[in-house]
Amino acid sequence: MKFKTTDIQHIADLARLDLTPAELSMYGKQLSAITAYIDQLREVKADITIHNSEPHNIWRKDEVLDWEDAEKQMALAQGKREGGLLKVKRVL
Amino acid sequence: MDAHVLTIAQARQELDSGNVSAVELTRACLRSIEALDDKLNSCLLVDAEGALAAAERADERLGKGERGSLLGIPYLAKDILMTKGLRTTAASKILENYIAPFNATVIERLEKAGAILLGKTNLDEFAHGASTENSAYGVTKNPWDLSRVPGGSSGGSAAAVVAGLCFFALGTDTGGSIRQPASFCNLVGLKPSYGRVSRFGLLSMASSTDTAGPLTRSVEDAALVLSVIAGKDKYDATSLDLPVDDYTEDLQQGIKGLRIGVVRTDLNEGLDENIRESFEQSLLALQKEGAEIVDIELPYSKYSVPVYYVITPSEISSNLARFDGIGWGMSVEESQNLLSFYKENRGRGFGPEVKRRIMLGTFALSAGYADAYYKKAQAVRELIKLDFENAFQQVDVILTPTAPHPAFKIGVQVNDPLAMYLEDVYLSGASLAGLPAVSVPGGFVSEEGKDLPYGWQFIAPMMQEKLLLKTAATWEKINNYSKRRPNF
Repeated sequence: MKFKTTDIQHIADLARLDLTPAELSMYGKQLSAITAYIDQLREVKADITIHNSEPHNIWRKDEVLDWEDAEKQMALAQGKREGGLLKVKRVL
Repeated sequence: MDAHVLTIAQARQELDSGNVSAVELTRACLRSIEALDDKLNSCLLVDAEGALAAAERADERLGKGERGSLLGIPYLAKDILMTKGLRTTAASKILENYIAPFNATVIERLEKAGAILLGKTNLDEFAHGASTENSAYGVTKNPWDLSRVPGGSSGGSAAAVVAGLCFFALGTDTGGSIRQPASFCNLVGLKPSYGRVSRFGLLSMASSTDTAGPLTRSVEDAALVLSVIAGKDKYDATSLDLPVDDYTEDLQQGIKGLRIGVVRTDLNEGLDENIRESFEQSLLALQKEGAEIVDIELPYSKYSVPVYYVITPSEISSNLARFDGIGWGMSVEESQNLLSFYKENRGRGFGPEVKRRIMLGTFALSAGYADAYYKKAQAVRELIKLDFENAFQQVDVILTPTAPHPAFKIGVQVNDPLAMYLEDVYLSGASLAGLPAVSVPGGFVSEEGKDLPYGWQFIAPMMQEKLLLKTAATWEKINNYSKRRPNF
């Protein structure tokens, strides 16, 4: 796949990445080369049957457990807070 | 005491017989770090105070007659594993000041066993890389030749262990990140089966292949660490509820009658000529030990790198979406609204390779392309798994070179992401299939007057770590490569 600057800008927007013009151009070239290499997968005939394997879904009860207070304080101490809540930028 | 020369097993005897204390071992390691790490840049954080306090606790336990394989043994952990109260950066600017509020399960288990955490080691940012050059905090140097990379992404852990800064180190391996640096630094690097060791508290890269494991100076040491860190964890639903073996039990049993599979096409173009010849010699040596060498085919293994570089970036683009500058990590204050806040934090906080992988993964999962890329890669991944299942009908373990060449020079591959991805050519298959694999010292080649190590990789069927380590231990015993240390 050959990526144009507009394609790369679109992907960057989806990925929530602010990229400089130099980065857009570099990633355009590199992603073109990498996907050209990946495109060899087209020659493989494969369906998506998942075969038996050791790992499988493991369920447990959805229980409410107490979170150690010190841990909670440490986790929350690193964001901006107001009245016990995390503060974020304006959404609208 | 010179920590350079001791394995965990040897240090264990010294501790148990009272010849040395955990505090003395810890001080020896801290002195090594102080003296040598300016040259290597293998540590991102050293917690001398915490380590000495832990060493005193270990000495108390030893004094009361308690015994345990890792009680009083100092180690370092890759800085992508959460360590309570200590900075955990993943070698990224976006987590520059992040203090982990809890311990990863592997750290917790080692703490309970009385192992002593000395600090945190350097890595490629978020473990994305094969050279440690992608760290936001500078490259780690290879102790065998300071102008070369130690491999990656667990390059800091590898350099630290071979340089004698600690007795073992934890790494993580998503597509080769324990095995390749082990090969470049002359160590044993064990990637356990997917699900054998808890991923809880390992900052996610590719959740379907992430594993944590040890880098050690001997196979026995790897077995000792695995026996402590393995097992079911209620916080990681993908950890397997299967009994944990004593992985040291069979190490002396030998490999008489063992069928070792070799894929001849692995030895074609791309592999260093000296390494190829040495590989052939090693096969003869293993035959002498009673193993049977069987030619096998893994027809889809040539697709493992392209599959890996679709699936991994896809999982990365999803896993790293959580780094938004809210709650922790760096935060760009001047942005006007939430969207530009996200984009600026992520644009400035992540390094070039992380952004490249997020972009690639976002593309591979995007509308119109997901079928051709992500779903196709998952389908081929199933064929790669089947390849291994079929091969293990004919053989007990598979042997490959770990990397196609010894450590390369710092800077030579840094602008060629595709060349860097091909570092994983022998490694990504076992990761995609979830299989246990170990890299062991395979020999040395001389380049520019320096002896550079390389490694052999053994791969075993799912959960067959005991068989894997027994095979590796037999190989280790018939040469003295693992006893060689770098002078730098």
